[in-house]
Amino acid sequence: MILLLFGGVAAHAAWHGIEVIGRTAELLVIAAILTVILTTSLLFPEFNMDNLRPALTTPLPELLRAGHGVAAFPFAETVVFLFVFPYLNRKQKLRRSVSLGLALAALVLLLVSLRNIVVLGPTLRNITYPSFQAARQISIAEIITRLEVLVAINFLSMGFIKLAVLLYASTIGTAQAFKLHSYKHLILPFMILMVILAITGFSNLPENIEFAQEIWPVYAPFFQVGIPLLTLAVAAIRKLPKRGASE
Amino acid sequence: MMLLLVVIAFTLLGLLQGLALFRQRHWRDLAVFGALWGVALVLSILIALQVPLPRLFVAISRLVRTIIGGSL
Repeated sequence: MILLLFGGVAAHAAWHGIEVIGRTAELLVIAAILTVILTTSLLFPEFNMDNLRPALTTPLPELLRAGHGVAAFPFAETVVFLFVFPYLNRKQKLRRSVSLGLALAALVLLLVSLRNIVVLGPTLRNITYPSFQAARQISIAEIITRLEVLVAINFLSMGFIKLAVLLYASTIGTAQAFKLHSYKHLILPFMILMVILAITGFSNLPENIEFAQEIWPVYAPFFQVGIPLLTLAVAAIRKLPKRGASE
Repeated sequence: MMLLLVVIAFTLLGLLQGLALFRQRHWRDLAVFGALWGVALVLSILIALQVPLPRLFVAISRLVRTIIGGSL
C-alpha cells in the first residue's frame, strides 16, 4: 500500500511533466542539503578524527573497485537525464548546469561520507544505513535528539524525485520508441509495473545489498555507458542531426 | 478481496484511459497501453493470488555470474 501511494505521487508528478518535477526538486534538494548541514553541525561533538587513519593505505585494485562502484551508483545513473535534456528551455546553460549539479552532488556525498566515517569509525562496515545511524548519535543536552527522522525524510523525498524522473524518462523513452502521441497514458501501467518489481525483486535486504554491491557495478555500465555510446556511434554513422532539420 | 480490488482498479484504468485512446483513434497508443496494461493486470492478479513470481534480479544475478564467472 505504501509503495502504491509513493508510486501514485511520483506518477502524478510525472504526469505534469519535467517542469513540475524540477520545481519540486528545487525545494526538496535544498531541504535535503540543509538537513545534511544541520546533522553534520550537530554531530561535531561526536567527531573522532582518529577514525580517518590510516589514510591512503587502500590497495590500488580495491580502490579502483570502490571507485567503479561509486561511478556505477550513483553518478552514472545520471544518464537518465539524457531523456530530459531535449526538453530544456535554455539549452545553452545545459553544460554549466550539469557540471554544477554533479560537482554539488559529489561535494555533498563526500561531506556525508566523511561525517559518517569520523562519527561511526570501523563499525561503518556493518551498518546498512550509515547516515541514519550517525544521526541517531545526535544528543544535545538530551533535548535535541531523534533527528534520524530528518534523514528518513531525506531518503523518502530524494527517492520520490528519483522515482518521478525514472518514471518520466521510461515513459517518454517508450513513447518515442513507438512514436506515440503522448507519454501520459503509459505512466500508470509503468508505475504499477515498477511497484510489482519492487515487491517481487528481492526476498530480503541482504539479497538487495549483495545485488547492489556485486552485480550492479557489472550489469549497469551496459545501460549507463554502452547503450548511450552505441546510440552516439549510430548517430555519427547516420550523420545525425541532419543540417537544417530541427533538433 | 484483494483480487476484487485489483480487478476493479484495472477495469477503471482500462475504461478511463483505453476508451479515451479509442475515441481519439490513437491505435498505436492504444496497442502499447493495452500491452502494458495486460502485463500489469496478469502480474497483479498473480500477486493477489499469492502465486510466487520469478524474481527478475535473481535471474540477472545468475546471468552476470555466468558471464563473468567466478571472479565475483
